[in-house]
Amino acid sequence: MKDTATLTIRNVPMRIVRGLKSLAKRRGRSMEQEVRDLLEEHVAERSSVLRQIEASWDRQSRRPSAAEIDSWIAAGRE
Amino acid sequence: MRLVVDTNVVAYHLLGTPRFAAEAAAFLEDAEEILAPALWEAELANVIWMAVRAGVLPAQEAPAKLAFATRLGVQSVPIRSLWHGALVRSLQSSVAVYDTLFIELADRERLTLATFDRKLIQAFPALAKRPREI
Repeated sequence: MKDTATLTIRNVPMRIVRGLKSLAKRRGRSMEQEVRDLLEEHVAERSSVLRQIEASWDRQSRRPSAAEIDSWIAAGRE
Repeated sequence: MRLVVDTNVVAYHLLGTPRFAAEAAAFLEDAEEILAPALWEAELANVIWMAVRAGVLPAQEAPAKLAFATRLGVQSVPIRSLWHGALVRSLQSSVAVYDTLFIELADRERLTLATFDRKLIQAFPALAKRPREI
């Protein structure tokens, strides 16, 4: 299976196209490369956030139990 | 994969709940598009507040937790678009509207709800599952 695909995106507002052209020019890259990188950054974002969350557990005094969190969710409903 | 997520899945990972955080992380990593009724935002903010009150989280860390949750990319669906169906489901079951909002969204979008809530899974087995079972 190919590991790349070609996307055709219709009805992109002109202000977005102008912004992408300007961004690509500032970075000395093609607009196509700019779009590829932006899409990759967006999709990879969640993995990165999950790792950052895991690193943040060290800044807690402890890791709460499921029962505690359930009670905290329920606390807003009482 | 497109899925609906319960607040507990995000909260267990956000605060590193032993025995559940890894399962929640695997689910959140694999899901391509995640939806939840807008209620999840208030519930999660309440969990963070309670974690500060319980001495689990320093108050100065609380806004960062909320920022992490924002960046998970969960799409919030307005409650108003779900409340009629959720109310009907609650009237037909013993499950609170807070929970049937999630079930209603899953059913409407023909998706599965990922939750650690055993009662919800038991009440709606066709729609609600534990993350590792999806």
